[in-house]
Amino acid sequence: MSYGKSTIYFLPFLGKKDLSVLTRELLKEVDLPKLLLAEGYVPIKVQIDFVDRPSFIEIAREIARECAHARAVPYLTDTTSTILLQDRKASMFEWTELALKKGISASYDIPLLPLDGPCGSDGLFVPIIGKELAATYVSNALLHSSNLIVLTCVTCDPLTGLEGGMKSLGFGCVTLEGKKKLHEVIKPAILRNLCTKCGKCDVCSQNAIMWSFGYPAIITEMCVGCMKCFFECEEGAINVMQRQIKRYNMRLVDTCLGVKKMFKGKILYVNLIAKITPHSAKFPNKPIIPDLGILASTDPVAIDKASLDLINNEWGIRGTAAEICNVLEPGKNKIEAITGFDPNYTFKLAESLGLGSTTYELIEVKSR
Amino acid sequence: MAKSKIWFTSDKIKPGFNSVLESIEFKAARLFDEAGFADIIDPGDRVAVKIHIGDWGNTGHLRPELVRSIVDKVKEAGGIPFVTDTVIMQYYTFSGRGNALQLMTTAYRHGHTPDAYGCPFIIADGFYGQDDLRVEIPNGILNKQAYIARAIADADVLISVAHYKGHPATAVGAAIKNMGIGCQSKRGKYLVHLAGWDEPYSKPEIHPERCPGKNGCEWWKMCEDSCTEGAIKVLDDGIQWDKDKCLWCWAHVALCFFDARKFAFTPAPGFNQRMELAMADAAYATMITKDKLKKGKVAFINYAIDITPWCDCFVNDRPAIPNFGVFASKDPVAIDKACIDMTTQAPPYPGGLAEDLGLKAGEEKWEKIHGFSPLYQIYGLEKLGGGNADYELITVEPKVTVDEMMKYAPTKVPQTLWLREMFKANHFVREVLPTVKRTPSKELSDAVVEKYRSSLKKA
Repeated sequence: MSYGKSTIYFLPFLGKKDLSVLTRELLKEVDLPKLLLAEGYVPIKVQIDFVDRPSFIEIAREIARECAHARAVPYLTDTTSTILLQDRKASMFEWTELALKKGISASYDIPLLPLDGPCGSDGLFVPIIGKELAATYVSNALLHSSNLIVLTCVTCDPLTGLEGGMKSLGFGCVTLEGKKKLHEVIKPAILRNLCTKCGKCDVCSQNAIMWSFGYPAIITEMCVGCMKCFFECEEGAINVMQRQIKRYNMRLVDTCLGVKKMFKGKILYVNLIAKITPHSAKFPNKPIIPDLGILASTDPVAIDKASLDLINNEWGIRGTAAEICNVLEPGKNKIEAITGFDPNYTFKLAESLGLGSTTYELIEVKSR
Repeated sequence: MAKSKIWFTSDKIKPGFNSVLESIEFKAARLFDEAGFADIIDPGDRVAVKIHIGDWGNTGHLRPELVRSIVDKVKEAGGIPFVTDTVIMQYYTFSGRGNALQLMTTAYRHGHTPDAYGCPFIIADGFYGQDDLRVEIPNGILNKQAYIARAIADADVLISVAHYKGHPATAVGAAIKNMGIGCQSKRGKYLVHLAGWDEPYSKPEIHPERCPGKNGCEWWKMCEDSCTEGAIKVLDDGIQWDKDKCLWCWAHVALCFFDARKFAFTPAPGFNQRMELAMADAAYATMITKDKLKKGKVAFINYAIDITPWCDCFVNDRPAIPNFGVFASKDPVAIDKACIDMTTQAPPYPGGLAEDLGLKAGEEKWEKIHGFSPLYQIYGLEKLGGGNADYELITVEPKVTVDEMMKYAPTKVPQTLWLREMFKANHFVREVLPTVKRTPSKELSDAVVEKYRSSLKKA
């Protein structure tokens, strides 16, 4: 299947300007009111999780204001189950606390609501014609929403290579059951030649880590693939097989198709390329490239591809994971070198299933 | 069976004794201590504080500070509190609580925010109220199952903070209603309202002669749209209604009553009593989630203030009876029974509905106002084993001591000490005094005051 070029608006960080002013200029180019249906609900999906990323609440507020001007009903939202997957005891209480800590709170007329209910179980069974999955559980709140706006802080991610709009849509908009369906293919294993027996990985919420002959071992049947232990290991001894990661990404694309089915109107994706950290305990937690700017598009595949290309065509920063992996020069695939997975695989798959297009036209928004 | 204990404090204060401790919110906090609610909260327990946020336009709902004092007490006892409410069954076209987004907007407008409570404010049953837990109650009177909102079912402790008032569907709304309707998810609420949906006589009655049709009623389109089943068809001068299709969701009745004011639909006789019993079933189901009833992890506080004849789901009326105060108990049946008994003894509120109907102290007021007794829910829940209607009332007087004051004062340091420190640095009263020009007090004698008074009279 071939698609035409998707348009992507790119606003580079230039000059000394407020983030909300920049967002307004970007939204002017995107022509947000034309995308929205009047009086329709517009969830603005932000990211509330344990990961340390810039909270771009100014952008969310600005978009919400634009939506309200266009007579739509915006609200800030995220799923609670992101937290539940890693910690069984957690609940909406932790979710609200975390949101407040990050500065994401309800303000004026823009409420903050969970997408999938207080306990991550408010879902709708959605059948999909996909490569791996036949169905998923999409958040119930999206049922009558006309549009969706997905805000993503792009980072490196061990499972998708690049965590972008597609991960936010496919992983972030489904309930706990849907997330478990994605993660059930991931079965990390501990490499004994790299393991120093430090015991830091013993944080499993499922109690799937057992010590045998002095080494920790993961019991495959009990593991849900939440990757909590992976992020703890500083030696890189916890390994996920490429085959499993590929299956994960197949399922992610399927879920994206399922979530996309719910909407009458279009979905706007906004990617922030700032503070791209390696997202792995192996490397120092420093941004690998300088902050670039904000991207906006209605095509999830094109915007992620564009983000990847922008990151790869930028000089890396010395003393970070980019130097350790020897990918400082522009043009080298930094994401693949650091995370071990090339996201281009997912993009091609998504294009073949009709989720979007990998060819795009980048329109640079001139900051006035 | 031993009598259930109820702790009660009057909202009235002794003339002139306007101490902070006489505030009704701290009286409620003191009842929390007296009733031993701290004992049922183990450290680390998630405590659901169930409130009613009041619908769009309502101003008689419980003010956030009345709940905040309870939330602070829960924190003190080591629990992790969250304030919660559920979305409603859409019985009214212009309700502000249809889904979580509308509910949140209304809640924030009414001041129910995390900032006001110092803890999260959570919608308990998901965006459309479908996130729930099915609870089987084999011994239920009418319904053998209930759907409890997920966050409340998952909580370790349930504290119901209810506003005691009359209710058109169940005669009173208090602790039992806060659980039997308030803690149900959307489908759970339907289940209670459909009490006896299979009985033809319990469906609403139609009075076609009262409906003027499209020509006489500007609400006719909304009336047609209010039915999810498409059972209503408004003709040019009349109405067609398919009784078999009707699921008895109240929507057309509420619209015809409140807005169109044609009274073409009325509840069938016997419906309300059945609904009260179904509500008792649902309240019992709420209490048995996570073994709350067996472990004794339920607590009830009823604020009997602004006692309007109608629910907080509508706009307020003038109160029907004067304020009583606060009740606290671990027994939902006893606490509601005590409120109803006190209503019977109370005189009517001047100019209120009870006085309009000529009711006097000692008469059953809700039965006369709504046309049916509120005691079905009481005896229903008692039969299920949710409580005991025999009670003993323990009246608690506010204790005005320094220790008590330190618990509830805004700062632990007396305000005057701050002023003293400030005066040490900059005594602005003594600085200003030399420059002040005033009439000497000896000139301001009684005769002068009398002169001013007479000049005012002339003017």
